[in-house]
Amino acid sequence: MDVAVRTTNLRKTYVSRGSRRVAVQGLSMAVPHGGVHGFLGPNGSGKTTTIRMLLGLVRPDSGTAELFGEAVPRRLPQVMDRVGAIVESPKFFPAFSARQNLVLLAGAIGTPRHRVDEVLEATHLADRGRDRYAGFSLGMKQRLAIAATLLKDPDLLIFDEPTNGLDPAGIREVRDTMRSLGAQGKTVLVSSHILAEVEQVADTVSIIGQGALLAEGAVSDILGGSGVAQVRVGVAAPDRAEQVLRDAGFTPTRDGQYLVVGVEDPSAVTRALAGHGLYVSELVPIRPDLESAFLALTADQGLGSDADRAAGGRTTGGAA
Amino acid sequence: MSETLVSRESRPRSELRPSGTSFAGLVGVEVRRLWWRRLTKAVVVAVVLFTGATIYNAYNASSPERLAQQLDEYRTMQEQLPRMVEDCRKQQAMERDRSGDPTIDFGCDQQGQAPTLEQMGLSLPVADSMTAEIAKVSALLFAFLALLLAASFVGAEFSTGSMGTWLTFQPRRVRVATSKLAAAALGGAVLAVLGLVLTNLGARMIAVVNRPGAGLQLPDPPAIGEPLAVLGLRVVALTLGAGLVGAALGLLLRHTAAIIGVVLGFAVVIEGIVVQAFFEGRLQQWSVLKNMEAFVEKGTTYFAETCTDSGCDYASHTITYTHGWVYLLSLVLVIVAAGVVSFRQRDVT
Repeated sequence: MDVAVRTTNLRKTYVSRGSRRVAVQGLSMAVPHGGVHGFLGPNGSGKTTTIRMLLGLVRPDSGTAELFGEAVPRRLPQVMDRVGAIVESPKFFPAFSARQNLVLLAGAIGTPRHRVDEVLEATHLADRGRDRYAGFSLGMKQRLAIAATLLKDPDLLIFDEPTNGLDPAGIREVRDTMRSLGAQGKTVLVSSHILAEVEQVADTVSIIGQGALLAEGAVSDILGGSGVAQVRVGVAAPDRAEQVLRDAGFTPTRDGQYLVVGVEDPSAVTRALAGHGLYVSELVPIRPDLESAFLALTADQGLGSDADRAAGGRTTGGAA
Repeated sequence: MSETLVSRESRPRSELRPSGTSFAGLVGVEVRRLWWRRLTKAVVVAVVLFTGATIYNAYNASSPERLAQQLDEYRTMQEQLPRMVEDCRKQQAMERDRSGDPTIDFGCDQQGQAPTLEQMGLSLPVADSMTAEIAKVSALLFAFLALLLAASFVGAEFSTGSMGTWLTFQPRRVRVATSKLAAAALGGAVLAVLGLVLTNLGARMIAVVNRPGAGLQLPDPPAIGEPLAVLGLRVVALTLGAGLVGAALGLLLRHTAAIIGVVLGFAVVIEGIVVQAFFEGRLQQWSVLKNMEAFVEKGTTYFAETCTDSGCDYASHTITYTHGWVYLLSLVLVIVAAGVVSFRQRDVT
């Protein structure tokens, strides 16, 4: 596999006022070249620290990281022109205009001045280019950050929680941008804890928890490995239906007035119930999703933040 | 608005890819950012206003009317001097009679020696002398402004988080740090040059406007003892060093308020209290302000207690020009090295 990003046993511990916090512990992952790769994990699982280590902003305690086969941070200057990144929220000089911020960044890498106008145009900021960054909405700040990454025409784009705080239109815009960049053959590494968002654009994912890799691979593989297919069954007498299904060898669980049954062939459920005079009023396949897979993985490890557990609670019939 | 922010590029990548930039180019970008900052404009205005105020003050102090008035006062004092000496001697005699001690000395003979016009500060308004006097006073303020500007220049990058963005474009930490130091030093130097040029222009105008008539006989001021440009270069070097220290402190402390706090705390606690109050003033030879004074004025003095076999006494001590520049240069190098090493090693979050 042609790999754009690789980490091997990457480890980082933060020491602050005498306390130690392990942010990343022995993370080994590989991001294939081209397409969109989701980098998933609960809040505080080490995603941003990993990205910071890839960009040379934070020094790892041990382990190695590579971008396009070049060891970072040692060889970062050789490869940085191929990498565009937005770490956490976009950060620019608030008192300067969008254009001034981009002119400075363009000057830092030797990009011709006309590229500034081009990327402002591309990100629909041309008419706001002379406005101060401090007055920008979050969506405009995000667009400016994307404009900044485009100054390099990078092969690898790293987006860290790119849709945080955006409205639905902004989220869709960023999502489509990532998809478009991936389709152009660029590698997009997007970290997020909003799994449904990543699932819509990612070709491959890495899932981490407490700074270590939990799963990695194509989204379809991850979903396939998350458990058997399930159906949600609506029936007039759920108590009796549950007993019938247990007698037939299924292991149903209750979800309010519904039953959730793990089964490869849903018709087996209708046959078993019909045989006892119970007729199904509703039979809905529960498609395994990334959130379910993620929650299953993090639950196995005893991981996940409060927010993630809350998200899990919203998932009907999830594998978790 | 389209749903995607990027479209496929049809141009060759060689036209889109950055070509890289030299160190000088990077310094140029930093200088441009420095100039765009509002604080820079405010500091430039402050330099212009301060220089204008000092020039105005010098103009008033050297006007022919004021000089004539001071000259009258001087002559009156000269006329009254014999009578003052006579009064002094009478009081001395009365005290000797009263106490029966014939050795009592009121120093009446010393009172009889009138100070010279030069000692009274009465001299012709000469541009170079006025410039030198004002420059020596202004140097400390220019240095403080240069330090403030440089500290804010670097500190703001950390507090806004834009340092992280910058490093994703220029990952060579030492190169980034030194380019910022160079820009800050240049900014400090330009401030001093601006202040000195304005001072000299103002002094030349005063020398012409306030030239007294033939009826006012005044001596020339004491000679500066060196070309004015050399003094100017020392003031520029001082502000350049202050800019370096400000930027290096920015790299170390990463917050403008913290830097200002440390600098003011140092000025009040160390320079104002510790240096004066402990070791009978002998710490003054290591005072930053005293050494700055020694550097700008080619030597300075301080009073400290010195003890010998026969006892202790306060005496004047000299801080030489060489002591001043070696001490300040060492200090700047240590702080700059600490700033660069810290920036190279520490995480940027």
